[in-house]
Amino acid sequence: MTRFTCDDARLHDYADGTLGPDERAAADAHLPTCASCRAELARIAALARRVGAAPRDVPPARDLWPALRARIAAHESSAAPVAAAGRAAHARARWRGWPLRAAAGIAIAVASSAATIALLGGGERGAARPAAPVAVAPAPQPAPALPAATAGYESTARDLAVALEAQRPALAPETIATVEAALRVVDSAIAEGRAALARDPGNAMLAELLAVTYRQKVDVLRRAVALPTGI
Amino acid sequence: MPVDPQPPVAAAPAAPAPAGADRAAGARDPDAFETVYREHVGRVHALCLRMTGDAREAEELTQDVFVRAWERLPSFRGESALGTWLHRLAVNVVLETARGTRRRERRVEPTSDLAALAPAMGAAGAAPDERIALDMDLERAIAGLPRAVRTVFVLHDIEGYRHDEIARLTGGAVGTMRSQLHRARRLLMEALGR
Repeated sequence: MTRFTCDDARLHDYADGTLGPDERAAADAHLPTCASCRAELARIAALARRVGAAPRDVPPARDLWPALRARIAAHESSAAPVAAAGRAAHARARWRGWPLRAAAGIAIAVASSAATIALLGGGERGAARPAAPVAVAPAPQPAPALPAATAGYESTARDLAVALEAQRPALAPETIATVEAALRVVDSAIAEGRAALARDPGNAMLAELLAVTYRQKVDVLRRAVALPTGI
Repeated sequence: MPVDPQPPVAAAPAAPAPAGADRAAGARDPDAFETVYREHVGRVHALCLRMTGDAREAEELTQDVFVRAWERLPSFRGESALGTWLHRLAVNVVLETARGTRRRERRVEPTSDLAALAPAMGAAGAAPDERIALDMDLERAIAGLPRAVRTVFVLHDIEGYRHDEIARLTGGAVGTMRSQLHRARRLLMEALGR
């Protein structure tokens, strides 16, 4: 039979009920003979009772909902005032979030349709460079301090959108829905990014993030245009 | 400290599927999400407070948890209870943040900070006899534990995680978790005068 030695760790395991049957039997045999172990076990049990009585719900000292709601609004809409977020960190989290959300949205939207595996598949994965920008038309809406590269993407995206529109009748409705869902996500991210850049025109990282989002849009459009029709 | 004029957060451990959850998940309606927040904030905040031992950090983390929950609500499929899902999310957010802040060796004064919380520990707006009775000596002692030891203690003894689950969450070994738990209890027994 396993012999139980006076061992603090084993007493904790005994209290937790995690000893094996042999060790447990050894402890059961040992405890009546050892006042020191019984006393220690009683202390462990007393602590367990005290901890067990601690409430599982401890509300914060102040209502966090107003600040939280502002942060959520900032995530959802570029129209939400940044100041309402209360902290600069929230604002940073906000612009840090949008291209990621766009990417996630695209992944979800595209992956949801077997018919559009081609959107992500093929040898072009990762070759997300836009086509050479065609002659850049004047921006249709005021674009504050948009980087030149972004304007190129915008123009490319417009051309691709026209090409996709021409192809639309030959595409499966499911495919069209998927592409449109992906584009809505990217467009929303772009709008948010532009608004953020308008508020902070000198922010190079914002400009870069916006360019990345445009690249994503161009990439989605290029893959959509390249889709075989009639699937 | 002013008391927020809001109803106390109901401590409803086995609440039925909250009506707000479905609406929030479907429509991502901030009003519906507020219901989710009000129902679960006490649980999430308690975890953040005990894991960090710092009231300010706990408030920020609580917000971070709900922001992430908001972002991920569309992916919540209801396989688990919303409370369980939120709780897992909270543990992950706290551990991720701890990994980030540990590098900066940020030092906090948990004891004094927790003491400042004491007047609010009774749920805001609750009638005195409904207030949450916090064992402040115990809470202070937990807050005073070294962070790694405290993490294991809170997850195991308060939140009910198993050693192997904690090991997986923290990237440690099961044996280490076990010895850290025992150390935490010994330190607590000493701090509480045995």
